[in-house]
Amino acid sequence: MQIHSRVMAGVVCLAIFCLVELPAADANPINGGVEAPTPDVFSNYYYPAIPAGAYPGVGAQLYVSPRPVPARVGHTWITYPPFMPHEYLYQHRRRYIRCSGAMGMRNDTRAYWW
Amino acid sequence: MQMNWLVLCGRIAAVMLLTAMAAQLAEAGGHHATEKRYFLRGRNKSWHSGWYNPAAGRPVPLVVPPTSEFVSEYSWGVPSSRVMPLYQQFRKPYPGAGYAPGSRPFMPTPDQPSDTVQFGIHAIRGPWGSY
Repeated sequence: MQIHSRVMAGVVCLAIFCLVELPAADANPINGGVEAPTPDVFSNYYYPAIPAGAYPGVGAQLYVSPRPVPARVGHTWITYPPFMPHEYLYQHRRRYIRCSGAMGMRNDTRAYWW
Repeated sequence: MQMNWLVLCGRIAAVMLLTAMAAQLAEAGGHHATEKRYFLRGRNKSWHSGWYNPAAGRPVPLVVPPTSEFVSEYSWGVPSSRVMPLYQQFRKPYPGAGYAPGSRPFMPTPDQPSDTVQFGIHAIRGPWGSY
């Protein structure tokens, strides 16, 4: 009876852990923005143009560059994404994780804005 | 002994709950349900009004923090102010052409403006980080 109650308590704890922790990890693979995907330094941020309808409108872009250009012509890029001005608009933190090297090493960079 | 185990399990569960809540509060991407609601409601809405900014010749987006939820607009008369939800947010994928057919012509700011939207400066929330 003693062992049975311990096993039951362990099962209850495991069930609570699964209910609390696992859905958050599964639903959002980027961990709420803390673990971000590798930034695409060749693209800008946009608001799309809205075609005719109730609220038609033109598009907008956040920065003047980079702009979409053909692949065979010269282009611009963002040299260091953590220094982009929109990151300083609110307090947050982020981890940039990317593979480095063929032996499975990885580069883990932590950035804080406050 | 059984009672002690029950109390211990309860405390462990409480600590787990508090940890998960703290992690939810500390995340940078905003609250999931709120973000989804704002995204769905702002999908087919333009970010500007019918007026343009004469200095720029077009409506000017004003970048505000992504944690913003509302904008205040002021005018003469009644009502003299209104608080509007701010759904629009900059995002990563290139949406295509900047102009879509069917856009209406803009009006310049009148000589005696009666509303702050007539200045042609409209808020768009900044992006959540790199996506």
